[in-house]
Amino acid sequence: MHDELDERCTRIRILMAESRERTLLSDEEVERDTHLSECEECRAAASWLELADEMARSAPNPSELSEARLEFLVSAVMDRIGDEAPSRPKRHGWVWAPTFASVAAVAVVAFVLLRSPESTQQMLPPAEPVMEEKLERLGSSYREDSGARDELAEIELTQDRKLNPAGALDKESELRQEGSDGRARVANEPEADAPEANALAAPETVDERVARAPIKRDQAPPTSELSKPEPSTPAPSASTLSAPAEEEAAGKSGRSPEALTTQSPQARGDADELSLADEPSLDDQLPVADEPSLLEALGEKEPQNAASADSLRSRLLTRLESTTVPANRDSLETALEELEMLWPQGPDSD
Amino acid sequence: MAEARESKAQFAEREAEQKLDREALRAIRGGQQDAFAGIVRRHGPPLFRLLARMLRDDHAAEDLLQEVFVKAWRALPRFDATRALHPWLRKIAVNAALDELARRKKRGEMEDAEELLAQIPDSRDTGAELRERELSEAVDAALTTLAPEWAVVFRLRVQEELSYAEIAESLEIPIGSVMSRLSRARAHLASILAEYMGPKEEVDDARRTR
Repeated sequence: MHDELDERCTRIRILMAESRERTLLSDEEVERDTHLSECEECRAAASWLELADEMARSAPNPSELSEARLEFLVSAVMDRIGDEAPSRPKRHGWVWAPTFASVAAVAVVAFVLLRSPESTQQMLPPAEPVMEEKLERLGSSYREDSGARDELAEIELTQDRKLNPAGALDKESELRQEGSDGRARVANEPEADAPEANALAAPETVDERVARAPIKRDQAPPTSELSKPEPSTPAPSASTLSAPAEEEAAGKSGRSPEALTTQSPQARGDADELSLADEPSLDDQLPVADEPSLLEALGEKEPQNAASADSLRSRLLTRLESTTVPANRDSLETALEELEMLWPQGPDSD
Repeated sequence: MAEARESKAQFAEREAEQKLDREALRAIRGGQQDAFAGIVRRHGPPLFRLLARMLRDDHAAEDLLQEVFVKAWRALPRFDATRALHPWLRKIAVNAALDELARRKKRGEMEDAEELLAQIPDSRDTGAELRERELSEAVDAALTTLAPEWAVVFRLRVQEELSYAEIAESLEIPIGSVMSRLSRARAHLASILAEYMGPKEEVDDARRTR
């Protein structure tokens, strides 16, 4: 029906419909009125425009939603959303949880596999780095301290020269050949002929122990042991003796602490008594020039000429004859030997 | 004066309804799912009327209304709580009804407009009295012959008494399109009624003789 309407009729009917929502322009009103006067169908349609709205507005509601139907609707809706609410996240979880889990597992495996060995090593806790570093530092500092080793060698040589002039010459030549590498030198002479030579091997033992320290660090001696008096020192000063040592010596000899300086095992030539615990530390090494001689330790001045040497020799002999303590006798005998080396007694003196 | 009082009462009623809606939405977002039942109770009846008019089937409207509320529940997290809830629900309902009408048309379940219109008593042939209800049914039947997009604009404007802006919001179309569709729907409806029921004057005569 309406398909058969020409464009003009359609336009006028729409214009009439619009007139219910807005005020038409004067031109539009003239156009509408002119067309309605000519077209009977459009006049019939125009009469229904107002009635259609009125009838549509007053049309009875299809049916009201009764209270019972409303409650049924409410319960049905609540049942459905109640079924959905918990299941929604669960469904999502079932869908995504395995995916997330596998992705996370792959990521962890890839992270571990692709990580460089260096960085993996960094992840591991260091194997006691502090102690390793400490011991390494201790060993290297000692090994690198060539000056200290040279000093030690000089001390040894001086002591040898005093105690065993012939052996000292050999050792001095060896020392010159080996240069300042005291460690190698000591390693080449582990066994000495004289008992004093065993005492001189103490620094070597310290060196070896320090070199061994990283391997068996638990055996490293405590600092107190390393700082004990120099075994090769002929007469350590009283200040180098620790108080317990002095008391111990006093208890043995019954002398005053000042006199105890003569009771050191070195002065007695009792080098065999030296143990590893008697190893001196480098700090305790005294320069040769500063070493007090055995004579000074005994309270005697070093003789400056043959006459004073003879006088001193006679005094020492007198003291030797008067003492009965073996340790004192040993010291006096050693001092006499030292004096003999410095000022040999002439044939006429006998 | 009476109109002003009525509009004021309507405004107060609308404000109270929106306040209840906001409280319900807060409760729902706080985890109280039961608060949605209040929303269904408040907005169910008007939405049912709209759906029943559009579908011309109460049972279908009831079923569809259930779907409307379930869709609303699912979309509730995306709803802007600062806006009114009813226009949002109405938009869901109108779209659901238009989808249903399109499905019916696709399935060939649409009422035959010609048959429907043929049932309208012709005052010219019968000379019988046209009662108000029969006339309303005739208009309603004529509306079914319109394109759904036109008919829904007519219903929202005439039966739901919405403004152009509200219709535009419900259908998500510009206001100009609302005016154009409304005019075409009216013109077409008038043409159908004139075709099947004769000139308005004859109908008026019939109504007067009731």
